[in-house]
Amino acid sequence: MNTPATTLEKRAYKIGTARVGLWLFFLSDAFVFAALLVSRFYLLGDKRPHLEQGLGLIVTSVLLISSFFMNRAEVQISQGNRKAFVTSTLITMLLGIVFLVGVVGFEWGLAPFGPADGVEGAMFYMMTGMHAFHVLTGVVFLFIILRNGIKGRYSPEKHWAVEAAANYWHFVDLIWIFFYPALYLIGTV
Amino acid sequence: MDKNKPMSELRRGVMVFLALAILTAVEYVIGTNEAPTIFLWVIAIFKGALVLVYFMHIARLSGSEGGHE
Amino acid sequence: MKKFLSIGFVTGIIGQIIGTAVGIGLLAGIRALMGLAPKAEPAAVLGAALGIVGFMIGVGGFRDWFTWAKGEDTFEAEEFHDQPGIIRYWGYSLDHKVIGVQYGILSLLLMALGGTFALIFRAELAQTGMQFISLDFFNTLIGMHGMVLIISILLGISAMSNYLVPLLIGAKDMAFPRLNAFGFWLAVPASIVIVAAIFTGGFDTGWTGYPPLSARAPLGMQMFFVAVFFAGWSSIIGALNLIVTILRMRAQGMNMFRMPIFAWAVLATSLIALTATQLIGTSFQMVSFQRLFGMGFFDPAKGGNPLLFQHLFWFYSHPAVYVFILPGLGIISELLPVFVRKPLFGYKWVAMSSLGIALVGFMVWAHHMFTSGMEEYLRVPFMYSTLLVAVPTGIKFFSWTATIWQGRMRFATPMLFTLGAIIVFLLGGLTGPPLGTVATDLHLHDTYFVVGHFHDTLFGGYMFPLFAAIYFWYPKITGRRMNETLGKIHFYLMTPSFLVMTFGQMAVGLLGMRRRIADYDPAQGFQPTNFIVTIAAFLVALSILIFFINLFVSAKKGEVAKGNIWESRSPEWSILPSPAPEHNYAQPFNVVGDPYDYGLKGSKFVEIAPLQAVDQKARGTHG
Ligand code: HEM
Ligand SMILES: [Cu+2]
Repeated sequence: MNTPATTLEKRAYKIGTARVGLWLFFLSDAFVFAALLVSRFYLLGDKRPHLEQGLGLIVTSVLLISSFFMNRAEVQISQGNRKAFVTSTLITMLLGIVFLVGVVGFEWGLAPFGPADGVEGAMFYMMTGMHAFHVLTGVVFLFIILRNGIKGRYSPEKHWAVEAAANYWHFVDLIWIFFYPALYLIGTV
Repeated sequence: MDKNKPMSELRRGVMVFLALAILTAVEYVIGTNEAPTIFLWVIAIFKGALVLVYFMHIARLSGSEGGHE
Repeated sequence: MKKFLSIGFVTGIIGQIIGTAVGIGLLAGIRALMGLAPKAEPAAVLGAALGIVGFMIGVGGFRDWFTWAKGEDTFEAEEFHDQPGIIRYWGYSLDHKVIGVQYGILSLLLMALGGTFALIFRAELAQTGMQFISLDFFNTLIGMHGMVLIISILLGISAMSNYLVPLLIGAKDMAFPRLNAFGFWLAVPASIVIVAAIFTGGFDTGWTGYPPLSARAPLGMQMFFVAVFFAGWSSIIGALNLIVTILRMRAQGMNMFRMPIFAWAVLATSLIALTATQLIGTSFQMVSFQRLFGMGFFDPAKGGNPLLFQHLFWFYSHPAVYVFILPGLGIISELLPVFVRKPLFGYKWVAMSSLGIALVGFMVWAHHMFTSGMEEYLRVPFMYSTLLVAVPTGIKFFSWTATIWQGRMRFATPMLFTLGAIIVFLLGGLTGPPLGTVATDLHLHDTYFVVGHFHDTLFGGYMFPLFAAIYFWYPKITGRRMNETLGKIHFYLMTPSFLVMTFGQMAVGLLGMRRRIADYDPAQGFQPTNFIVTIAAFLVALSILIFFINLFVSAKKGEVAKGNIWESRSPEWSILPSPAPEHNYAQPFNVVGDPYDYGLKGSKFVEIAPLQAVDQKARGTHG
């Protein structure tokens, strides 16, 4: 009884199952970041680490723009526009790398404290480090879908990997939406 | 599904992006000007909700909306 | 030799050795290049972590995912076939029943190991003065006993849920078979790393690893952290898989309120494990980083606060105790109706009480911190939330007693253990409120009373039900029953010995004996009781040894199990032969009634689906 319609339906059901799994992973991972956020307020309270405001705004904008292109990429592949998909994904990935360079390369170098210098330093490096690690894995994920996208492996009907990568990317962005104010804006220096 | 739905989905991406960008700018102003912190929290939650709903399509979880293989 | 080298476990171990060497070498190399002297701790941590990664590569855990990343397809998990025979338990199987048994074997191994640790330090405690072991080794043993058994419990729960959930809900396998295998195998190198803690200096903090002590304990502490971190991920992965399986893979007609209670219990447990486990991982990671990089989270000299650790830690570790017991309580509710031939009383309430316990369990963590010096205004709210847990737990007890009421009981071994579980868990539950009440806890905190309390809860909520489950479902695995006589000896030896043990612990605790101490003053009058506790502990160990013997001997010599030996309504007994075949149900079934309507005339739970319904089954239902 494997009519094409039922296998299609079966596959759609499978994707739905995978989607639930992905979201449960987000839920689980969110607890790591929630723990760090709580620790930040428990330990630092109203104080915030002394950081480069301009740089913070720049990296935040970079990540936001990358999210925009990520969204485009997913929409484009679902419309069958493969070329545009590849371009958008490439831009997203490059912006992700720029973000990493901005945080790890510049912010870590410019910060007036090291990880061992007091609890501000500890919290700052832990939070940005954990987030940067997720961005890094996201970049790897993007590289994979980029490569497979160039090879023509995705179609409007079949691009679960793209959806998963995009969602992961947005999730990492979502974390930064909370980490950015917690590190840069809330409290006084 | 009407024909220009694909177009509107791209446009929605632009709108959401603009909203997020403006909110981020507002955050920056609030944060650097010692306004009450509560606004920052509210904005962050609102931004988070935008991302969850429009970028991550949380609604797809419950139904077959936007379903593909 | 070639055949030997193709066994997943063997290649995994080789991978772990290589990974560890690479990790140590890498760090030594980098430091040498920078002109620094080699440093043991970072090298050991990186070595242990890369060793675990190496194991996963060696065992083949990344193979299929790598293929996917390359954009190629792999075979469907449904087409997976194992090598026949015992060898399949040594390799990277995708079959949930094989993985369940693998979990079980690892869990029992760790149980034996952790139990042995306890016997050693119990022997030391039988008398005042230090007889056999050094103080440091005693401390290491205490901590190892705790954590090895916690990992063993987590694995044992995974064993039960992996094996049973797909069978009970009529699925062919778990939702993500590859992830399932990955989760199991991750626990293997993690177990090896935790044992390595003994050989790298041990640690002296107990299983809780509180800083500031853990920030300056020997190197073994780091091995402990790394091991718990990866074992935690194994638990998270397993939980994720189980939730998705329960939500998406149920048989046709099995809506949420026709699900077996065990599935409800696993759902509640998995929700806790999925989320809270991250907190213990994060908190241990923070201590680890404090040691490695000098990050002062918990170091008051740097503005840190050790209390933060306790909050993070208990936010996991209290809910974790419910992770340990909820599946066991589910087993009790699952088996009671079979052996009293009556419907389970208050099915819906029992189902919801699992979720209730899980929910309330998230709001009580600070009852472990009443004496820690945390903010005083937190004490009373946490006292009330703690006592609130008694409500959903009470529901379960009402249900059990009402189910037993006027039932026609059959005292087979699984039933004995079920009854034992209820009684022992009751004692555990009753000793909780004195600890949850601030006024009494100020006296009882950190005494042997706490030790008695949680051994009662853990045996009642996990060990007894685990044994019940093994005696009950063993024929599904091997096709043979376990020996009843040995099973009864096991029960009648273990139960009284165990009760004597925990009553003894509570008695010395009330007299003020602190937990985790290696020696005590004879003038305090603990000695006779401690001696009895030690004897009782050895008797418990003896009874479990009998169980192990039974387990091995019955696999070959046990009575062949034909048909529905327990007259259960559950599909794995009423439909499947023993041992259960690969990929479970050849033909899907429909759920047409309630699961526990024993003794009601004409009631039916499942019915083989007529053939044309086959593709609908593939969609499952969800509610
Ligand atoms: C009726 C409900 C329960 C209450 C009110 C309760 C209360 C408490 C309290 C207040 C403590 C802290 C004692 C202290 O350190 O001073 C404690 C410790 C503990 N409880 Fe329970 N408990 C209950 C059920 C359970 C259950 C079901 C388990 C599970 C398996 C459990 C396992 C533990 C463990 C492992 C500890 C010791 C943790 C440590 O090493 O410090 N409890 N309990
Ligand atoms: Cu607790």
